[in-house]
Order: sequence, then C-alpha cells, then structure tokens
Amino acid sequence: MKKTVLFLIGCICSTGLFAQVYFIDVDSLPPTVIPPEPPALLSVNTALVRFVPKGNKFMGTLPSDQTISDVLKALGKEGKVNLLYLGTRFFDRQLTQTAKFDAVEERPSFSLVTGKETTLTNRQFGLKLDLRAKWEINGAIQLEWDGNFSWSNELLNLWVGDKYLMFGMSVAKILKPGLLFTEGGEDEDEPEQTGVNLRALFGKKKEVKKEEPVSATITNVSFLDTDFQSIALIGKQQVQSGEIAILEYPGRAGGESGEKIFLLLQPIIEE
Amino acid sequence: MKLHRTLFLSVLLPLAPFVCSGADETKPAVSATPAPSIIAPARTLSLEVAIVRFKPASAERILRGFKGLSGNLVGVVDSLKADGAVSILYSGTRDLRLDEKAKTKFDALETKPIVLIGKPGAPVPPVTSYGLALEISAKGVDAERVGLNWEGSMTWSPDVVDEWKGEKFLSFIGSAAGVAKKASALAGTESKEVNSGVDIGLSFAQLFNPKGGATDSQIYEMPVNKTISLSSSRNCKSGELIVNATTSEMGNKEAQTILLLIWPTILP
Repeated sequence: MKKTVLFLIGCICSTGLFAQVYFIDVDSLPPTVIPPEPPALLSVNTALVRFVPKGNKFMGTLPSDQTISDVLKALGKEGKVNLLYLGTRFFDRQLTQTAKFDAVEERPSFSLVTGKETTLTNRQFGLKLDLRAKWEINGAIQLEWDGNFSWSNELLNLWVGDKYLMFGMSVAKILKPGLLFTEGGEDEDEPEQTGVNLRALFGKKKEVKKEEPVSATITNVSFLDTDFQSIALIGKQQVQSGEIAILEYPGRAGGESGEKIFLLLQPIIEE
Repeated sequence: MKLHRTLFLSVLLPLAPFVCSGADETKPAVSATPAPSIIAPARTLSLEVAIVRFKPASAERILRGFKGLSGNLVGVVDSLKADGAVSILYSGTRDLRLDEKAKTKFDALETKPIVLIGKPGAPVPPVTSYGLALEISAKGVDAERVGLNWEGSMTWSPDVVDEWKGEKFLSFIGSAAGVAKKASALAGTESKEVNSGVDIGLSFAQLFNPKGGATDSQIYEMPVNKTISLSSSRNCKSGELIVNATTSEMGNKEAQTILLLIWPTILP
C-alpha cells in the first residue's frame, strides 16, 4: 500500500485566501540517512617503514587489524626493517584541519671557494605529508594523503646497534657498518645477531648467552655525497577505526632487490 | 479518488483561517519584558608547554608509545629517564582568556650567525634558526572541556643537543641508561681539521665537518638539522596531559623522539 502525504499550504494576500495542495509519494523518496554523531576525538598514527626482503619480495601477510608493531613484526620475519617515522596527530571533531606529518633533516653547506656555493645542493631527506580525514556514513573514516618521501639507502645502511629503529635482523648478520647484511643461516634465533631482537620486542625469549652488542660508531657522512631517492605519496583509502591502511611503494629502482617503502596509517576514534 | 480529494480540499480550505487563529490562541503566554541576558565572564586558560627530546637506551622503547605518561613535567621526565636520556628543549607557560579569538604563541628561536675570518670574499654560511615556533588557539567547548588547536614546528640539531654535558644543562638520564650518553658523543675524526684551515665562528665550528682536506674543494657541511611539524587539534579536559610524539630519522643518528607536552588548566 502506498503512503501518501498531503501538504496544504495556505496564504493570505491582498486578494484573498489561496491554498495549494501537493501529494507526495513517500515510497518514491530516497531513504533519509542520518549521519552518526562525530566522536569526540580522532587520532591518526602514521609510520613510514623501509623494508628490504631477504628474498625477492615479501611473501607473508600484513595484519591490518592489529598494531603498527605487529606489522613491523610481520615484515621483520622476512627481511630488514627500518622504522623511519612514527608519529601521532589529532583531529578535532569536525575534521576541519589538515594534519601535517612533516619531518625533514638537512645539513646546510657552504664552500670557501667563491662562486662554488651556487653549485651546492642542500638536500632534504625525510617525510612531507598532509593528511585529511572525513567521516563516512557507515562509520568508517576516509583518509586522503598527499606528500613525498626522500631518503638515502647509503645513510640507512649505516644503522648498527640496538639504539637504531631497525628490526628483523634475526635473519641476518651485519658484516660491518656501511655494508649490507647477508643472510645468516636457517636459525632465526642465532645469538650473534646485531640490532633489535624481535624476541625481546615481542616477548618471546630464548635462553642463549648474550654477546656484547657491537659498539655503535656514528659515522659522519656527507649529505652531499649520498644517494638520493624520492617517491610521491598520494592516495586515499577508507578504513575503520583501529584498522591500518597499508600502502606499499617501490623503493629505489635498480637498487637493493625488492626494497619497499611502506606507509602505515591507523586512525583511532577516542572518546 | 479524484472526487474524494476535491471534497477533502473543500472541507479543509475554509478551516485554514480558524486553524491559524487557533494556533495563535494556544501560544503560551510570553512575558513582554525580555529576560535579562546573563553574560558569563570569560574563563582563563593556563597553558603549560614543554618540548622534550627523548633518546631511548633501546629503540624498542619507542614502539611502546607514550600514552602512559602522566603528571607534571617533573613526573614525565622521571618516567622517561628510566628508559633513556631526556633533554628539555623548551618549557613555558601562557595564560589566555577563553574568548572568540583566544590564541597565544610559544616561540623560542635561537640562531648562531657564523663569521669567517681570514677569507675575504668567501660566501656567508647559511644561518639556521633552532627552536620552537608554536601557536595555540583555544575555545571553550563546555564547562569542563576546551578545544585546542596548535600549529608550528620544532627545529633542533642532535649534534648540538648531544653535546650537552654537565649539571647546568637540562639533560636528564637515569642510571639504567647511562650508556646512552656515552654512545651519543659526536664521533668523526675530521672535526679537528676544521681549525687547521680557517677559523669558523666560535665553538659551534667544532661541529663542522669539512668535506675533504684543506687542499680540496673546501665544502663545509653544518651539523644535521631536524625539523618536524607540530599541528593537531583536540578537545581536552582541564588538567589533562596531551602528548604529541614524533620519531623520525632519515640520517645516521640514533633513534630519538620529540615529545610535545601540553597541560591545559581552566581557571575560574
């Protein structure tokens, strides 16, 4: 049975009383959708990860429904992981502003030779990322990002020791600072590993005699000499609160085999 | 069906004026004298802001996050220094009235101009401003909460901060993390060569690293400068600690996190 609504509009003007009647078929109207009340607070965790697989590529599954640490753990099982950026930004209820996740570093340089300074480059390594968020009717969050990331493989390969944000080294042995790792054999838990131990990070312990960590020597490397890689980070994706948007970008073309850059975005609704 | 509609209309239309007049009569009696509007006095918001650099003894600590921090600045430093080295790069307070355009600045920048002596015609080295540039705006949300919006950036040099030694620096370290400070000392065998060629500035020049020897291209690079943006917005309660953490490393320095800490207090 069709439901019909009658609207009676009456008005009085100088010439008398007028009225107009409209019949509206309610069934033909689109359903009225009331958007959910925005939550009090939205925070977005962002991480940028460089991954170099021990094989040609990552063969496992990344858990998008867990934490960023869990994603690092999954990646670390299959190669070397450098955590290059980890930050949190908050959005207000209306999501009006753009969150900036910029983090760059540079080494200003100059030359004592007159005229030489004009040929110098002043490279900036790091992340420049603008992120916008929008509430969706289904309760999801639409993330939209725009930026770029620049890095140097030569600089990152200098990371040695447990004070660096480097994970997944249980599958490799460091030869010495500045060189790439080689695979260390089948036993992931071999004690002579260097770097952050995933067992220690995630609670799985094994009774082994711990060797003294390699003393980290901070090598001073010119920013002018190192290789320079840069990729654009542009995209959008709809995710639920707590879910991680895992974006994979190719690393250096023709460089280390299978190198990938992962951008991880995790919005969390907080009351 | 059409006949029914016409009949329905013919009955309804004459009633329209009565319905209208009836509606007027049923209006609740409203006093002709408007109630005096009570303007509540604008509340005052006191903001305490601190920028802390945290260098963990082990990088795993950074993955645990910083949501568990609480209390005042002393409490935060005490909590962090158990896991690494803590340097307070900025601490300041501002008061502002919670009106429509309530905003305040926490800028604190410093520069080290560099002078080259004995090299006429040499180019002027670049000057970097280190420190905090931060603007916070606020508006009242309700009796208990306030909406904060902050925009700005923080620039620092790990090389310079790592040089902090002695009791007069705002650097704290727990006994468990004693190794961290030792490891963070600036290394590099080339730094002593700086003084051999030409005097550059003051003690800051000790951190310069010439590329090549005195007879080479004489290209100098300053210490690494790191800049992070600080922009966010959120509602919070009076006395609630806001922690905005950023960890970033693109060079060859050890892991370190910059923590923006905000303590808002609504005053009556």
